[in-house]
Amino acid sequence: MDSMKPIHHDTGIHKSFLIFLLLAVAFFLFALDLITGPVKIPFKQVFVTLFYPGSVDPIWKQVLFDFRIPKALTAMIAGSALAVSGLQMQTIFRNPLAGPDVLGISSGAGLGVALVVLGFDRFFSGGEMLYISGWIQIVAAWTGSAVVLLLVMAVSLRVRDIMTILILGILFGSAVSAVVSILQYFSEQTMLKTYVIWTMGNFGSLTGMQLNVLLISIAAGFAVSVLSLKRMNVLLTGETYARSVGLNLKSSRILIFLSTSILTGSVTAFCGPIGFVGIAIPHLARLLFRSADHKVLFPGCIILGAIMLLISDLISQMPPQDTHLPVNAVTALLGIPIVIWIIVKNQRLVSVS
Amino acid sequence: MDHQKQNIIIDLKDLMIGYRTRGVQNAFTYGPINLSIHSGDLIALIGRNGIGKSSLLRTITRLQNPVGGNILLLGKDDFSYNRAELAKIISFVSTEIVGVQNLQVYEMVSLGRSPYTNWLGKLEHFDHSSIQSAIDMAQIRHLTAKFIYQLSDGERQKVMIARALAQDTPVIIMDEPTAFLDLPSRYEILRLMNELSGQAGKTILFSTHDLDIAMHEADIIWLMLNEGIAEGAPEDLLFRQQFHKLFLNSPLEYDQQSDGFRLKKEIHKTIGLQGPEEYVFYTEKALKRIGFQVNGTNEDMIRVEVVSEGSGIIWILEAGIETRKFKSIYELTYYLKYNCK
Repeated sequence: MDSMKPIHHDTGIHKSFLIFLLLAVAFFLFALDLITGPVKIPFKQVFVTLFYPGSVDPIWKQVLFDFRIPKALTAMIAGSALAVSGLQMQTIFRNPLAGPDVLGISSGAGLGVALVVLGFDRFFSGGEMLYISGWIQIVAAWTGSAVVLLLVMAVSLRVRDIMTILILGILFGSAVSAVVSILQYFSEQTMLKTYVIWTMGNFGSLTGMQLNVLLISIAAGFAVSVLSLKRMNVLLTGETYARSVGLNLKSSRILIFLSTSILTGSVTAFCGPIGFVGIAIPHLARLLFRSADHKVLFPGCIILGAIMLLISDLISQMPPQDTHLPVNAVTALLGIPIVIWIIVKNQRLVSVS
Repeated sequence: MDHQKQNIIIDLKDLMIGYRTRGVQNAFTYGPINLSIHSGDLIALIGRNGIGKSSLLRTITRLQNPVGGNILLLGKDDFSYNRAELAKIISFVSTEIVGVQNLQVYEMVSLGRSPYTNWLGKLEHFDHSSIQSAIDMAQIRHLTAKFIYQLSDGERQKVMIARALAQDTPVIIMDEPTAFLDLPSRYEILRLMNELSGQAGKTILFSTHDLDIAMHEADIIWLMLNEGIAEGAPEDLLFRQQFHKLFLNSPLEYDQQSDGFRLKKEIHKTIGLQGPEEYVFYTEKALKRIGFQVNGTNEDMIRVEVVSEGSGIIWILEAGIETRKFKSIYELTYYLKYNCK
């Protein structure tokens, strides 16, 4: 009888193979990122330096350990965090075009940072205070993103139309920029320069302390995210169905918003507003894994996000020039084609992620 | 009666449903409702648009809070259950189209296991066998590897019902499960619902606008009228002439002869009809459709006689001194419609 045959549905092997493949690509790009830069270090010497740091040129050692490794790590962490944050937003808003930058969440984080950098940073410029200042900057960014996220959510509960919500996101972003311009007008020139450089996006300017703060925060954000994987799968079918299978909507929203704010806020605080990773990578993950399961998409987004920002970092320091291009510009040029593809693909933007 | 009382699974006590809108006091309310649902019932909820059918279903599923009164679920107030516990007693199917990309049918059905799985949603062996039996019950085995967006409306609805079956609840509540479906799909869904209540012992409450289907398939009809809900077997309601209230100011009426609901016809004229029985049956149907009262006698001003002539049939119309012959029912009705009113 037909009903005796087991149902074949599990394509787990193909998916884990893909994950390993992508991990290998990420590792390769990480290595490539370590050997790329204005100071020429021979390929072999990079690995000698990594494993026998005592035996090589101290300058190489310094370049690798103080600059290139933290920079590559930051790029990977930022990419992973932004991609996961975008995935979560697309699921909770049931909107394929949701993302931390599109809905103004990054701008919110930027406002937090602007308030700290332009407004209060003069109180914390002393060396010992740097660590505290790192936390203040990041907490300000979390708060900023959480405030905008709550505003967007409040509106989206009343307005169901995807386009309207996107336009509102842009308006929130513009409002925040207006506040920032006012702050800039009243701030000192040195602070202003710090802020403008921050807005271009950068992975290389983090101090060791800041990298620590970033690592701890992103780990916490991912932990909260893992706790909400099942909830997000259930939310795919919409709020009514989700509640009918026992989902507590309120606590789920709180969990998902908490991790989204932490992830977006932390990255934005230290690396600047990096666009298009959050919106593009989740779609790339869905396309590659052919899955809507967040247990698959979560690791997928982590690896693909890391890959995208490693590539962006490599492009931004492409020879022949010795200086860095703004990372922001590179991610935009990489991400925008993907976003256009999404828009063309679902012409009626009423469907769910 | 005692036997029935023991089997009560949901008890609505003075239940008031509706929406509380800020500023406006109770913008919409309906009630009080005092009804019981017995285990294994297949109940059809019928009422005009906007009377509150969806609100009632959503209130029982606790997707919406009652404005007053309470609901006893297995003898306990339903607010004493948390949402996860509730999800093990009542499942819900709506007409909402879930258009998730890259979600396979099997995965969709497996989401029904959410109340039972661990914090990561891991499916155990038992969950898989539950999902498979739900898939077999809904007869969607051939669809399991497909993606949701590849399905027709009828197939998608069966998948959503399978999802509710995998949820393994004694009660299933469905909001217009047959809306937007073509006729064969409607009957398939109803057959499935009938089997579920008859063989699998599920208690099913569903809203519908399909009066004919409800009359033939439901054990009980809840007829939601302005003055309250009339409850009973379809035949009870016919007997008590309850449907008239539903059709007040509407052009529908129940036609006993054909056991279905028809548009009321204003009778313009009477017409005589004679001929062999097998021809008369369809001719009469057509004449009624265009508003004639049909008599079997020869005394009317207008008369039709159906006769076989050679290899075919002809319809002979006599109106006063005029006599005409027609080769089909359509020709006959067309002529009558424009010349004999």
